[in-house]
Amino acid sequence: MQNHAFFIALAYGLGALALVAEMLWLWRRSQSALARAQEEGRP
Amino acid sequence: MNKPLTDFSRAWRWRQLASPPVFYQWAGRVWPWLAGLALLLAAAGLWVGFLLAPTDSQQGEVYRIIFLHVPAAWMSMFIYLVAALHAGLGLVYKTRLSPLLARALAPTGAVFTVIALWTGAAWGKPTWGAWWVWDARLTSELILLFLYLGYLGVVSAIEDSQRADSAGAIVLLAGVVNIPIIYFSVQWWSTLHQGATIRWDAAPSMTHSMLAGMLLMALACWAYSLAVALVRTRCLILERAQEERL
Repeated sequence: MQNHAFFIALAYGLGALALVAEMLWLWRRSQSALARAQEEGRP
Repeated sequence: MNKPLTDFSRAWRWRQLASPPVFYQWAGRVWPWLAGLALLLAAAGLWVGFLLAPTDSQQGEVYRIIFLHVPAAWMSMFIYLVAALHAGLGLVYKTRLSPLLARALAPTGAVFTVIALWTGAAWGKPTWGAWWVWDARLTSELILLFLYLGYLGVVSAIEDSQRADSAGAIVLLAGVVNIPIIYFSVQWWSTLHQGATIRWDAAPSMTHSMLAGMLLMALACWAYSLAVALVRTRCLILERAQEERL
């Protein structure tokens, strides 16, 4: 059971990490795209 | 009497979404709702999967990995098909938004493929005694990851956007043949990977609470994918507009 908890935590932990990394990367990309658009005077 | 006119105006409103500026505004309004829905559905799915679903009599607790593994594997295949469809539409009809949608979907599809492979490995080690086996299902899913990476590599390597979209579309369309291979691999070959738990032509071979947990998590992955794809499409619309002005 304890061993199973390790594998479950490994699966869900790294799965969540991948999704959070994707969201953070996308957040940075959208912020920089917005900043460049605002520099050019577009929304 | 008014019905045809109403249908026409509704259809016209949807068709306007093919215009990048209209889509940009619409996606900006919709994505926060989808992100909230994804959070709620994931919370409900994990609650059902970890607190309501019973322990499996053969696999014990480790089977609970399927609540992430199966939806991730479904999304990896489904997103690929939708991305290939949009890339194909862009290639044939030269629509402006379709290639952007394909580009927006592919990274999320790749992330779900990695999650499906990773969670499968974490389930395989305690169940089969191995992190990885060169089984038809696992190998074809790995090929799917290479197809996603190949597409992303091609579209980022070619500087001219339209040429990059065309080359990327060819990669995506050529790889579509891999999707039925992944899906039917457990039927076509003698594999270590178990057969489909949920089939269109048969009742599911799991209890209702297990099924509910898995479907809730699948819906959460759907909502997440849509939200992320909409935000990424907004970025791509801005970036493409900046490129065109240069």
